[in-house]
Amino acid sequence: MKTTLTTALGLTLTLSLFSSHIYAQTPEEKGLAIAQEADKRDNGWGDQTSDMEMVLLNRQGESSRREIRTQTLEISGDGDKSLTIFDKPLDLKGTAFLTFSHTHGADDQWLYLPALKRVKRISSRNKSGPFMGSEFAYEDMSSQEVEKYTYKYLRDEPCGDGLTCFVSERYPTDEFSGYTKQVGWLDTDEYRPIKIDFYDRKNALLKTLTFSDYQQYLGKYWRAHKMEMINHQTGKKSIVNTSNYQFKTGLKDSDFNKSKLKRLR
Amino acid sequence: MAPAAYSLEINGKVGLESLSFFQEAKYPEQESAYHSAFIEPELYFQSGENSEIKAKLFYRYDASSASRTHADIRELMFYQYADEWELNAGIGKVFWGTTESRHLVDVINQVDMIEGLDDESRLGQAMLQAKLIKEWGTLDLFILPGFRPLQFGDETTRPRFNPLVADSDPLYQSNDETRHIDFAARWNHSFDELDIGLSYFNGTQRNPLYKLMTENGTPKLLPVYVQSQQLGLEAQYISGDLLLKAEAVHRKSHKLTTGDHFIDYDSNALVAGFEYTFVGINDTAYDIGLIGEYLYDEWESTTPFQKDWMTGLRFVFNDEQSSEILLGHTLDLDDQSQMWLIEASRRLGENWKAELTGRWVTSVDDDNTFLQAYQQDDLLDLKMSYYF
Repeated sequence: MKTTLTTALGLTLTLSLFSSHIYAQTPEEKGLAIAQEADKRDNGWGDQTSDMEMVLLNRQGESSRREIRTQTLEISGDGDKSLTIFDKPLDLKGTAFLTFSHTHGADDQWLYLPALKRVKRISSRNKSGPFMGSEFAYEDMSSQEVEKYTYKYLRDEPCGDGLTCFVSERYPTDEFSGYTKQVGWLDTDEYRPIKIDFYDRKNALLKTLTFSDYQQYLGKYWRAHKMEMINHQTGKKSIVNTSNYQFKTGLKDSDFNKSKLKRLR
Repeated sequence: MAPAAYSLEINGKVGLESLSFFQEAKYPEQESAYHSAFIEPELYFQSGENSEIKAKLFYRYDASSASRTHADIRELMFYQYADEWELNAGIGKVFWGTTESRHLVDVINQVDMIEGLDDESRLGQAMLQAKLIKEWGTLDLFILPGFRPLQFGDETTRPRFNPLVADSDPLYQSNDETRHIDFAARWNHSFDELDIGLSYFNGTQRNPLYKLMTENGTPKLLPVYVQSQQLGLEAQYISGDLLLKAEAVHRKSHKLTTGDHFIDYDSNALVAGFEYTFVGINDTAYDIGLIGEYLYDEWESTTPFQKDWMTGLRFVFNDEQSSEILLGHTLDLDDQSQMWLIEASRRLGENWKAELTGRWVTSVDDDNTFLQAYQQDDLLDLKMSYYF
């Protein structure tokens, strides 16, 4: 049954792609259509939690580790709400970020400092800055909304493991982004990100992010268990290993409140 | 996800600290350096699905100063959580406010003066706290049984007031003395770019007045704790890289007359300023934050900040070691006395952290009694902590 369904879905998709060709879709329209389809396929998960281990490697191969937990609530019509709780390094244990991301305008962000019991509203403008000293910028870690970019489809090409990928460029609409453009590879079967090249403000290749160890959850949502970011300019590398993905855990809007940051463990 | 019921976790830090002074001590009992060791264990016990007990203890041993050897229960609280409320009881710590140079509205916890390179180290406070978390904001109600007077140390403490503060038997306006029960309430909420808080406190004022007296023929300062009502307002507005911050209080308090009578005294105080962050200097990962805050306080005898301006420069390296440097400068706009501050910190490996604090004063006015206490006491503090 499943095979039939997938085939049917593939057929519909092929048809729709054909029909768009008939109307002479521009590369920009096709790029946007691909992003919208990817977004649509990842709709409806409600809420999710996961544990992340981040390994930071410098050029000499020395490493340091971070451990964080995330809780995310899907918000339709706007960016998601999320909580990030730090477990390691130990001097940051209990530190937490609360983010209300927005499709338009700046995100709202609060930081909880457990040693002072202080909740601090912070500027979300430093999105181009490194997340915990890693090669991931805050904007790489935040909720990916269709409206945050404009798009341009480039080509289809093979992208390993027998997969074929849509290759598109996307340009951040936020003037405070650290990138002029990103080139993304999305597999044509499941619309999963396989690879992203990041270009810096001087339009030079800065970083490459590769996604691997995908698993499907709730029979629908694909999640990468490994993300590897390489900085071509410094030779540094950060690896994120995500485990314990859970969906529809019952998180509510009221759980994402700055007054509840103290409760997090 | 909530961990399984009845789980116990122990964390914390332990470390060595070395406080050294550049000038010769003003008093023969003082040292040129104070070396000490400290431990700050934290215990967490999950007592039920929505309840927990948290404890944070503190102990410092200083070989050269008995008064710097001290212990405190920073926290020993039982927390009961629900979606829209909390009920917490025990010894705890809360933080109110938005500004950096002074914590004006933050009156629940007494300052730990012995730790005190600033007013950020606080003593645990016994409290019963009810919290309501609603659409219209968060409301906290506090009953605070028991008051903790400031500890000023002894002859060996550096820096110290002259004359010495006789803190063993302070004067209280209330006959209940340290057993006076205080009340407090605070509402806070976020409206888009604006975070706002309103607070009320009724009880023993945390920072004392001083009365000159003689004890066995030597002059001493006697701390006087008056009853006070304080209405506080705190606000922060965010616009891109710019934060605008303000804290203001109105106090209905008391003063002590020369005839030892308490008379009504009302006063206002304000801290207001900004913090601007220059993100990613020259396309590097470095951020530089510029802080400017104006300090105003009508009450001369409780604080050095009558009319002051604080400038801060914060360098955030955004590196693997979370390196940060803060430079601070406070200028007294009345008498041009100045205080300088440097704070730097960096993680070493996974579990160690090194912190450096330097503080010195320049052009201290003869009439500036608070800064006089810091004169000839320019210091450098080095701290190495291990987190477990």
